[in-house]
Order: sequence, then C-alpha cells, then structure tokens
Amino acid sequence: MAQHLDTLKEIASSFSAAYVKTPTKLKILDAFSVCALATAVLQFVYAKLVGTFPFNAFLAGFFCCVGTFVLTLSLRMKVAEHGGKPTAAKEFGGYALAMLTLFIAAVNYIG
Amino acid sequence: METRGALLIFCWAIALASPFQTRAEGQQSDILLKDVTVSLLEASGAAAAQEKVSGPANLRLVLDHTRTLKVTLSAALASAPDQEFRPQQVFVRLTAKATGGAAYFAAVKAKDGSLYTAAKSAEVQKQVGTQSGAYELALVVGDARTLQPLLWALGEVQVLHPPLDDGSQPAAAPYRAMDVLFRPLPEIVHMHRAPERRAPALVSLLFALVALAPLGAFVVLALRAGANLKGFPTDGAGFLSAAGFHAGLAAILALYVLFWLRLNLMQTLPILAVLAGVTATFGRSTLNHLAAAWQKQE
Repeated sequence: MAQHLDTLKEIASSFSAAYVKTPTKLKILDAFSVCALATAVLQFVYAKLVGTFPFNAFLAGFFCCVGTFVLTLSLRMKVAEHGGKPTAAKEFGGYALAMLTLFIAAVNYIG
Repeated sequence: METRGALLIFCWAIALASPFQTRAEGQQSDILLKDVTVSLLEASGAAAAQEKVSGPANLRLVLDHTRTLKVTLSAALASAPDQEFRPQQVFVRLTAKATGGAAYFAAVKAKDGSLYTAAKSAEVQKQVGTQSGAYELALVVGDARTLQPLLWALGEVQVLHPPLDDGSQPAAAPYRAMDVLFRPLPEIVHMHRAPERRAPALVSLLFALVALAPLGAFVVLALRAGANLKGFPTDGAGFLSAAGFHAGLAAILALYVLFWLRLNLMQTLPILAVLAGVTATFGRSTLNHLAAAWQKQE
C-alpha cells in the first residue's frame, strides 16, 4: 500500500515538475477549461440536490459549460501546435466564433 | 331531388349561417322579399294554415308527421327592382331549441317563377335526428350581388315525429349511428407541464454564487500562471483595431444578455449580424497588424 502511495506521489511530482515548463498561454487555457468543467459539475450537483424544474435552463447551462470545455481544449491543441510562438493568436478568431455560436444557442434555450 | 339539393349545400350553409345573424343586424340588406307565405299543408295538399309575412314574424305552428311546412316567396334587388332576381342561396332553417342542431331546406323554383321550400318532419329527422319539440323557424337569403344577406326569424314550429305505440314522441337520438361520428370532438386544450415547487430564492442565489466561483478561481489561477496584458498592441492603429475587436466581442456578449432578458430572436439576429461584421473586420485588421509585427521581429 505504502509502495503504491509512493508511486502516486512520484507521478504527481514528476507531472507538476513537467507542467511548470508548459507555456503560460497553455496554462491559462488549462485553468479556463478546468473552471468550465467545475461549473458544469456544480450545476449538476445543484440539479441533483434541488431539482431540475426548468429543465431547459439546466440543460442550457450544463451543456454550455461542457461545450466551452471542449472548445477550449481544441483551442489548446491548436495553440500547442504553434509551440508558444505569438502566431498562435490567429487561432483565436475561430474560437471566438465557435463560442459565440454556442452561447447564442444556450441563451436561446434558457428561455 | 329537393332533399339532395338541401343536403349538398348543408355544410356550406352551416358555415355561412352563423355570420349571417351578426352581419344582418348591422346593415340593411339589398334583398327585398315579396309574397312570403308560410303554410302548413295536409297530406291531401289542402292548406291547414296559411300566414303571409312581410318581415320577421312570430308565428306559432305545429308540424306533425302528416303535414308539410311550405314557404313560398319571390325576391328582388332593391338597387334593381325591375330585373329578374333569383338569389343564389335561399334556405328555410329549423333550429332545435333544445340542442341547437339545425335542419336546412333549400328553395327550388316553382312553375310560376317564385321560390318555395317544403319541409317535412321526416326530413328534419334525417338532418338533426329524432329531436321533437320546439324549433326556431328562420328564412335565410344570400347572394353575391349584395354584401348583406337577409335573415328573418319567423317564429316557432313544434315538430312532431311519428309517435310511438303508446302515443308518445320518440326520444331524441341521431338519425343514423354514423352521425355520432361526425359531431365535433371536444376541444383539445394544450397541457403544459405543471411547474414544480421551486427552491427558495436564497438557495438559488447562493448556488448562483457558487457556480460563479470557478470564474473567480480562473482569474486567480491565470494570474498565478503569469497572465498579463503586455501582449496588447500599443502602437496607434494596432491598438485601435485590437480595442475594437475586444469591444465588439463585449458588445455581442452584452447583446446576448439583452436577448436573454427582453429581446426575441428576430430582433437579436439583425443587431448580431451588424456587430459580428464590425467585430470580424476589427479582428482581421488586428491580425494584419500582428502579422506585420511578427515579420519585423524575424
């Protein structure tokens, strides 16, 4: 058991050591996608605890967060291809368009 | 033949008859009726009763199964009294007071050029079933050459069907079993999902704050990761286009808030089209400026 814990600790520390070298832009994108996912989880918890009465509103909120998470991950992959160069900025246009489309669909569905 | 004619126009007349009542009240009709005679004929053809009417009247008649209710009339147009005028729609209507079901009898042309209708209790039975008792008698005349049709309420007719063995009238029932099928079905009222009991506003607001917390966490995380605004262009034109792009995005998000709170999709989309166009233009010029800056660096 102790051996397993040690292995896990080792994995975690080597991960964080490697992650520190990640470019800042990617770190920010990671933070954003994690927060979007956390928001989705919180809404799910709320629906479980309190009820899903305006079900459309719950679906809109939940899938908006999941969609944001997915789109942000795609942007992260695109930005990673540029290897931290400033040319990654041109990927933001498509991301903005996709997010705005997602948002108008979500707001339309909230009612 | 007469019956078939009545049945053919039956549905049409039903659709037309109800507006008649309201429209005829408002304005004077252009149709003039002359020599309107309501008579009850015995089976032999002799008149048991005969009344001449010159307008809405209050007759009291009894139409039993041996007699025929005959209404004769001739018509003219007030605007062209000399012309021969045969109205397109001439009906005698018997409306059962108990159920509102109506029997229609279309007029046909007599040898002398006048119009007449003949109604028997058997015909009434075919149209409204074995409902006996009080019926309202009305004369309905319409034509395409006049805007206002004519409706004369003529009084009340007691319709008596062939009596049963004990002398009583048959119970009210549809003429054929099939007629039940063609009655209007009950109106369908759309059922909305009943709202469930909602959580107290305090709980919802609290959870709204909790759901917003990851956004705050993101700001903290981003700052710790070393986020800054140093990459924002500082030279005049570059700054202008970058600022325009971000302002455009903010405006679209603000529009979405308005869409949520008060606008509908048809109001939102044109504004969105304009804002999206402006934002895309600014975004493109921002990228142009950035590309120039990258080339300079290399």
